[in-house]
Amino acid sequence: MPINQPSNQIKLTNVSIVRLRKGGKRFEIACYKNKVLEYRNGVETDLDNVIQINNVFTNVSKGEVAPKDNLQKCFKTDDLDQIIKEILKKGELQVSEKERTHQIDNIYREIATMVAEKCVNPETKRPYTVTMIEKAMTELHLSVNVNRNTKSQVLEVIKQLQEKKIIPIARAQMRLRITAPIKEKKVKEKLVPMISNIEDESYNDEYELICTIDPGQFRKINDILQSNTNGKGQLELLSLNDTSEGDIKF
Amino acid sequence: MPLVSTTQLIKLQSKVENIRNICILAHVDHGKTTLSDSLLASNGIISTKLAGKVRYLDSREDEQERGITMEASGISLYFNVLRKSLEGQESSDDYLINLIDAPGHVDFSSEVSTASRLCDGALVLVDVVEGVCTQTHAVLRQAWLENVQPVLVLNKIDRLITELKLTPQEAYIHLNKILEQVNAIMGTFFAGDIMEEETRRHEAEKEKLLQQGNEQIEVDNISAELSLEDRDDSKIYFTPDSGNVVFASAIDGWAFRVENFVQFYAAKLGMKENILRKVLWGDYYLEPKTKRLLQHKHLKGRQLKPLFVQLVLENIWSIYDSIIINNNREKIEKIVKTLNLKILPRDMRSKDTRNLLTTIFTQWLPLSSAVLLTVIDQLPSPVVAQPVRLPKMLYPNTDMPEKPANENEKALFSCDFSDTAPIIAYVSKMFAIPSNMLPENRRRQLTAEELRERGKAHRERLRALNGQSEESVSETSSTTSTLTSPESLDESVEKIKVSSQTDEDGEVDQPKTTKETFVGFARLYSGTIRVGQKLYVLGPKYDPTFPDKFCSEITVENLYLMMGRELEALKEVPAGNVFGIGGLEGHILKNGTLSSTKDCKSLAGVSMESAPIVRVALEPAEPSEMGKLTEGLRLLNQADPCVEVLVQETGEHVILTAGEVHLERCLRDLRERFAKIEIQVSPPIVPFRETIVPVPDNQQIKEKDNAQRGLVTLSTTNKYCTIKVRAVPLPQNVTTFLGKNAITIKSILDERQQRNKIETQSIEDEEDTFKDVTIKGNRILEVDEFLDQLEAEFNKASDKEIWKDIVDNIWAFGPKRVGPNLLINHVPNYKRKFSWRKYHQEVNDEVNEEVLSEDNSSKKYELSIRDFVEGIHTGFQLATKSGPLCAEPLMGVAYFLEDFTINTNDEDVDISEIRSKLGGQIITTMRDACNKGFLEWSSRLMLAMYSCDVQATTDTLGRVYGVISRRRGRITSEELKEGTTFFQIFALLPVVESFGFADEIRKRTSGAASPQLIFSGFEMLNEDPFWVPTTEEELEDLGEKSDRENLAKRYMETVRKRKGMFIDKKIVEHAEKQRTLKKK
Repeated sequence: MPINQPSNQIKLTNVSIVRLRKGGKRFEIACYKNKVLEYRNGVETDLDNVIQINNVFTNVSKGEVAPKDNLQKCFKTDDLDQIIKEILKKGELQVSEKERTHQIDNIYREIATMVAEKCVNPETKRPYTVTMIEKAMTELHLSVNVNRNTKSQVLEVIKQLQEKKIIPIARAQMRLRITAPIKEKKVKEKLVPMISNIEDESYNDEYELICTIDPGQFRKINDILQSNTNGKGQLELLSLNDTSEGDIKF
Repeated sequence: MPLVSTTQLIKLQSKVENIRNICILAHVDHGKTTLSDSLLASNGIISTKLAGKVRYLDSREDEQERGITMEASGISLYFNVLRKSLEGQESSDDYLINLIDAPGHVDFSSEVSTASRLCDGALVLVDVVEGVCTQTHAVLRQAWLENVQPVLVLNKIDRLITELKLTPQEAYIHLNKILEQVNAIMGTFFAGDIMEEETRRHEAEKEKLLQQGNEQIEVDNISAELSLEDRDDSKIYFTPDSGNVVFASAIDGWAFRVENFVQFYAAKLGMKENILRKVLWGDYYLEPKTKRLLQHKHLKGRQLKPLFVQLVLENIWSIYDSIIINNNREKIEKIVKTLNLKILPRDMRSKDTRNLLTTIFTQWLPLSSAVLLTVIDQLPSPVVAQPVRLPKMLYPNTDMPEKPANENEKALFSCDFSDTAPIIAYVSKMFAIPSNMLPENRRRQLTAEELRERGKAHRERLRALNGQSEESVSETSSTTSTLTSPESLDESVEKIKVSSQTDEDGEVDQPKTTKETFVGFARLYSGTIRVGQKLYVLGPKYDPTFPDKFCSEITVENLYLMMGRELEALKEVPAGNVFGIGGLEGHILKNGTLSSTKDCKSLAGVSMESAPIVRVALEPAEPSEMGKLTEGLRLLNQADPCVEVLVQETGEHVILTAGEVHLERCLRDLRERFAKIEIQVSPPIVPFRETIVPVPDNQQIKEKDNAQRGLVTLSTTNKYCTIKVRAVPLPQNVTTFLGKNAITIKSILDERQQRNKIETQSIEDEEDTFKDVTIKGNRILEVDEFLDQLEAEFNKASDKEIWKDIVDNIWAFGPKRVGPNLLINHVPNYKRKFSWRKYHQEVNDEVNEEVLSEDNSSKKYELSIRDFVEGIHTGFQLATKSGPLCAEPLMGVAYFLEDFTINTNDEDVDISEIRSKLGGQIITTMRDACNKGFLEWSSRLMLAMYSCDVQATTDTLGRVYGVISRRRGRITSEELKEGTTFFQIFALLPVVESFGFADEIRKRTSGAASPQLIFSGFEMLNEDPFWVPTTEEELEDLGEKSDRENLAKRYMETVRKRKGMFIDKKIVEHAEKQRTLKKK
């Protein structure tokens, strides 16, 4: 039992603890705040800038260092650096404030950028700027979820924006050309409910349909087309989002 | 003093010879509005006491706040001249002066252009202390271009006395210098014009020579004879003895010409008037004893003062001296007595010396009469001016014909206001005024008598309420103040009348309507325009040979007399007048021609001195107010001739303004008048492009593996399919070729889509697009022609092995199917159903054949690349649309699809199921493979560039260079403009660095240089954003972190940050230095 005396005490500030349970034991390391995530995504490479003390603890706040044999038993090595790296990589941690705001900020902006990419102003057929979308999102009182993936959140946001009618907004339409052998033209009946606007169709040597659709329907249309025509139907993506091009002068 | 009703002004409108349309032009803060104030005071619109302080024509709130004029405003003045004819009979002449006060700030030079178009004459003011400034130069040039006769007003002479404390002698030299400067400018215009004419003639002759063969060689000799010296340029210069120079101090309310003193002294000195007139300005001296005139060479070393100093300046100096500098009561009284002025003892006793000064001067040398007389004498009436000015407006770019070509032009040249003459008017700008300011929305017109009654009652009421407002004071004084002209002048101002409406009463109880109405600011050149008439509006592009295009019909709804901030309704306007016209909304955007016949050329557009270059993006603070913003922008666009509004492809609303001050005014207008919402302003989003270059990243990787560089093999997540893609940078010339011919590619694609449409329609369409395109200077190429040219471009490239037979294997272009990136099919055993070249021929047969053959060959359907053609294509499009650096489009990259294998070994798997599952995965795999291949090379960012065109004088040249290089611009050429002192500089400037560029360059050169920016394309920034020092040398030079900032990286990261992408940046730089304060 080591004696806790002021002279051999090291006081740590700015501590954030990373924990890992392994082999039924709990291990902790003392890190600096706001640094662990950076280390994990590779921005910070200097280990000294991440951990406070080059040691593994069973309890950081009490200053209990993990016994060597426990480490050996659980990690199958006695290289402290390797163990620390493993804990850093796999351990659970309290995400500190700056990291969290940074994360949320980034996701928020990413969502806004993606919404702006996917949507248009139906009146002008032009996209909104990202800042406009961000403003509309604040008006929604949207709180982003760090753990859910962005794409599903984007779809959610679009739905909410459309419901609350903060700005006139619609999904940018996809333009497709569907071709099928002429004998299979009956497939049209099945496709029509999913198409938002038929621009052109013809029945020459082949059945051909140029239309705009909601991007969410693409999969379904493809499936129906393929299964109904035995794979002879062709789907050509004319444009991913059908927006008007060029600058307009007033 | 009786008021002049509008009827009197209207009566004057038809006396064309007695109309003068003038504008006041000068550098900013040289006293334009103050001068016009004094002129207004002479008409009793404002009080003489307040002249120069109220700045009546600055009617906007921000104009008053900032103290600069922002919008040109017009006012009609009445002026009566008593003229003694030779026989001694007195005749009085009434004159109507349509005055336009133009702004002086550079940002509003468009207003100067529009104003000078409407006028025949201009008062050009120069502050004698500041001298000739950049805008003086600009307005003189504008006047010259528009053929407007200028009169020079040397203003603020009082500052020479009170601030610079010059002696009269020094002041004389100073004034002379300024005069010389101005004349030098006029000289350069003259010379420049002649040079231009000469070259034009030369060219014409050359052509003639070419036609006729070389029978005449003497032509050159003939034209050489007509060189500079032969032209008479004496008329264009300002000389005091010819009467086109006015000496003035607008703030103290005085002005004079040499003429004034000539008459005064002729009798005294016993000299003939016309002799004295010639000698009063210049190096002439008076021998004190003999009273004889001497020239400089006869002085023989004696210290005599020039006549002008002795007779004119010293008198003025002595008044200032005795009043302002050392207040000497007795001397003042003496002066007043000799000048025969009537000064009220009240004024004499007053402590306010300035007031006394003004009182004395306004009686002795009244500004308004001096200026207005000059205007009447020197500036042409419409009848005189129109024959000179109109040819240039009708035929702006050619030599003008001597004689009118048809009846219409004859009427135009002669300013014919008879009913039979065709109506032709030019609207130079549209301005917005609140609807409740329009006379028809005000209360009914009150007669002057009623008005005064009302005014009195109103004032009494106010007095009773103890809340006497300043305006009413000024009105009282304005109606009572009488100006009598000094007897020393033969021509005298007799009656000065109030013609304005005091309509405050009318407005007070009007409910505030917020609508804006547009009124056209116009000048009628021929005919008489009446309310209710039907006229044609001819757009700037109108051509009488195609009478249906750019032409619409309107009914004249309202006509207005311009009275500064107020408008007076009129029933008709005869030719030669400046007026406001309502009912043009929706027909004229910024300017245009009104005509009663369709057989009339559109009058040439106003030449703008400065194009709008300050570019910002606007957004409403509340996202739901987008509609209001668009509507507001539409109004703003109409109200301001110098604003451009765009909606960009990115959805941004961008406005272009002439400068920062102009921008501020536009924003204020939007916030307070047009849109009435809070607006956020931000620099517009700058586009980038991403590309790769064949340079090896570092020394270790030598060029040996260049052939295999960029090769990536990637499998879909379910391992069914493997894609092998190779990225290769396209040769530069190919990239530019593709960029140029995007239209061609698009038209080929369109053709493919529309091939089944009815032929006639498509032909028509094509013709239309063809027309549009030829205007832009690019031509749509035929498919084969295009491909041949493309092949030729590829053959020029150094690495011919790679590009062999490339054209026939092109699969697609990207992004958006037309961009400068290629997807090339290199899959063995797979031949595309069509190549671009063959496609033009019969395709459908081929397709059918293939389908049939497949049906026959194997019973069991096997998945092949054909099923995923679209997936691959889409993946390529996605990859080229947003590259791996910062999700910006790619440029100049070719992707070779080297191999595509499907490994479905399990027999029992349902094919259709795999197909639908694989479809999506192929897109992402293809995209990822492309991106990975891209990163194998050394990547580069491409910056959007402006080509920048600056004119600068020699002394500001260095500063221009400084600004351009600080913003990472590159000078491409610099040359001296012939016949001028200007340098023409062409430079390339990255758009990212251009925010605030125009303003900076103007500030650094004190406004002498103003750039024009035109988007010119993308240019590579030769710096790898991922570069870090690796070799020993580099590490030694730059350290591990490289001290020098990586510019490409910085650009990349700002874009990534904006898009919320991952940035390689630490949240906390130093872990142990974080603050550990507790949160509250």
